[in-house]
Amino acid sequence: MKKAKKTLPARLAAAAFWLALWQWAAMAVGQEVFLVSPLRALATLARLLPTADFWGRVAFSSGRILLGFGLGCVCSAALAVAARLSRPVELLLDPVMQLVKATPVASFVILALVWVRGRELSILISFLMALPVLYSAVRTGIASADPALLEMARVFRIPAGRRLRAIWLPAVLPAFREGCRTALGLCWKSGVAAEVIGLPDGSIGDALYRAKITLSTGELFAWTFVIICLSAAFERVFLALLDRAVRQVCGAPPEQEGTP
Amino acid sequence: MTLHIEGLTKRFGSHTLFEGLTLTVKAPAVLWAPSGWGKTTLLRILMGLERPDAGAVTGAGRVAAVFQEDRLCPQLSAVENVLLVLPDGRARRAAVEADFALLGMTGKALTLPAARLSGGQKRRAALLRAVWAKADTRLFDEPFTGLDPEAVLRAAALLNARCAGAPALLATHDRAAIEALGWPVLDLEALSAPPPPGGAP
Repeated sequence: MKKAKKTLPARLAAAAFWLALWQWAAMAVGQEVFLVSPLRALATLARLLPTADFWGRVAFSSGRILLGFGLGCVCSAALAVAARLSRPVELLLDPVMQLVKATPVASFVILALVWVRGRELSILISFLMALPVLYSAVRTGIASADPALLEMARVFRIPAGRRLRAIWLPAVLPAFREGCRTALGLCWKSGVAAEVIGLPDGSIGDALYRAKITLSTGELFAWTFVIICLSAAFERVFLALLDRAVRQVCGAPPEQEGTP
Repeated sequence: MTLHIEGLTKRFGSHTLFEGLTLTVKAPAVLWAPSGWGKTTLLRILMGLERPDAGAVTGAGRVAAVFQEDRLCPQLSAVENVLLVLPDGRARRAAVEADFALLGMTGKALTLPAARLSGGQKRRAALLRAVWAKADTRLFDEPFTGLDPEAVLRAAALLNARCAGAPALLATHDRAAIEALGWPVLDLEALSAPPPPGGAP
């Protein structure tokens, strides 16, 4: 942490350097359609920010992408547990997960457009992106549970709820957290990509597509910046919540009793 | 409850650990046998974690154990590790803490996660977990490992007071502890048929 603070001015300087280079390149090109200047992109963003349309799009896309991610969390955990409990289930799921992981987003999008309405497309795509990543994360976590402790729990006949809290969750949560980190970024990227292909009205992807047909590079950059910020913000918030859960379950100090 | 062990045999490949072990346990006793005899394996069979090649165990009921290793949940404190196996854990906290004090563990040592405790402190927690758990049979596999002589005597006194009247088997090589416990010593070699020639290391 200390080290990161020390390098903060250096990081800012690096960012400033690239922004300056961008500004210079934009001025040298002199054609806004090819390369918009950072100042111009910022101005576009400032123009978008106070509009209801902007926030409507943010809500539309965020809601669907996060819903897909949430469904992915629930399903991947359930399937990973099922795979742990039953060898046939594990064998059946393995090729499916491999396939889902390896299939290009674009193929899914086009296939999905046949199945679902464009509006709900990003839910499905975000779900499909999160599922294999989180499934393998939860499985890694389950596999890392200490067999000696599980044996202990068996001998002492510790009830399932306590076993979950004392042995399973401390093993699974750290791996799940890392999985979520990867999956959330994937969900945003592929969710918006799906919207660009499916063009649901009122989505961020639709805005990106409009920027393309109107050759409005400023809007393209502004929206891209918004997507990056949203993705980073949700990742931060979600990981912070998860960290709190990890601390509570695997927590350093024991739970506080009401009286000292 | 009475623990019956009858004609128990365990082999690993061609190597016979013990054969035809027969034993009835109504009250606490010390298991005595040379190293490598298979005490840990015997205890694991009694816990239901391994299957014998022949013979049977009956009447073990609900088991509480100190394993060869401590097997504590590393993120929980010593006290919480004990409370974990008690159905009404929270209500017993004060009494469990008093027992830790009896074994010389107080203050910060009770709130630190088990991962940060010393070997002896972990062993005390494992010991108290087995003492406090609701059980018909108690099994202790070298429970005094890592304890200093003074702590061994205190632990033995505690076991003596808490385990009376129910089946309990304690494997140890610590002669001072055996003396302090005052429990009958079962010579396992004498209770089982001698292994075939060449079977012993």
